[in-house]
Amino acid sequence: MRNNLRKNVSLFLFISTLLLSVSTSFAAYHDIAYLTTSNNGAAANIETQNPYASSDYNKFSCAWVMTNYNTSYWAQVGWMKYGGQTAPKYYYEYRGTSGWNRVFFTGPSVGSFIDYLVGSDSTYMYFRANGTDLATVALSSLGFTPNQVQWGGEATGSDVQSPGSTMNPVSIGPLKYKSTSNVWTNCSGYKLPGCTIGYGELSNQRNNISSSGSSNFEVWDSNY
Amino acid sequence: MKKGYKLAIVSFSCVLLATVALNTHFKSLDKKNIVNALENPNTSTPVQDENFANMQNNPYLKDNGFSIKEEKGNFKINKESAIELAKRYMVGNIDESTKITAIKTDFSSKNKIPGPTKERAMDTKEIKDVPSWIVTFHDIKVLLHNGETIMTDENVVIDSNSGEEVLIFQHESLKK
Repeated sequence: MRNNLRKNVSLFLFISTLLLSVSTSFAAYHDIAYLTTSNNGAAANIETQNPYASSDYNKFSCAWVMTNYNTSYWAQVGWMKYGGQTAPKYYYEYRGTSGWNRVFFTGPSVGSFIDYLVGSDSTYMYFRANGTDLATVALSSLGFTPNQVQWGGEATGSDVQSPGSTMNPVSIGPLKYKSTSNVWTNCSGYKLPGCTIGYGELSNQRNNISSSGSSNFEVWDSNY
Repeated sequence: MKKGYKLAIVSFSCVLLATVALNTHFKSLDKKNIVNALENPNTSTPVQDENFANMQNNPYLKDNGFSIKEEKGNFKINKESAIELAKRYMVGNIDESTKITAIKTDFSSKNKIPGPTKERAMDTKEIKDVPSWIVTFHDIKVLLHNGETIMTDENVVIDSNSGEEVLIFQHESLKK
């Protein structure tokens, strides 16, 4: 009898610990297009929406343009809604050899279409929305040479709304990148390796990125 | 056997309650009502005064094009109210052990906040010598886009006259 009790309690504690660790775990999932090429920046127009991001402050939903080196270093700009917030904010972010940094500002309006651009000249990386510099950061603070550009949406799980809904997808495009000779070039982006055509990293993250690449595309959350 | 199940149910309830309490204690606050925060500041919050020089020497301040001047005058919004507002504006998650500091500054940025729409693209907002509280929440865990989590400092800049959020800047925790 006492042994049974001990076994039950032990089992319960084990399962509870497991459940707690799962409920507080972190992850980020992407619904994006990408292009692997040497570059000095990325740009696109992105629609602003106000996705459900739960009341949990560890969670978020966002859409952005990004120039990056593998998964180690990046510079990006777009909109982001965190759990507990009532509306999305402008933000820019970078992770370079000197560290990680992110800044939030009020705006943009829900329903607006904003031109986002992150790109460099020989001295600075520019983070821009509708032609206004949110920031100009010295390249020496970033310390990486990009080998990829990405555009798209992202969320922390299927319990929050990835950007867009079935009836009202978030439009992204035209996709552009800045060549290493500093020319902005229209281009196509491709689905992430490992993702099924039409899907992001989660089964509820959907998109219409063509198998042969798309210069404009939409993303949405099939749960909404 | 029955006792085992009873104990399990009671334990499960305790764990659930504890989880909910931990997750919502600080951050279930309604973010909408500035007036309420000003009228009911949480004066029990343990707050330290930030050393102005520490903030001025913060390398991310310069990287972002921000500058600060020390402000010693009286602010319309006191420190306790500023902290209460910062808790509502912030994006990170805190608990009772989170170290919070606050300083009074005149805050400027060399850049501007874009207009809210393409049609109002020129409706930019300048940030120049705004009397502000910078409320810093230290060692906040943040999830990065590549799935890593890091420890960060979250700085909420609050207009000391209106109580509105000027901006929020986060960066990797500084080793002091």
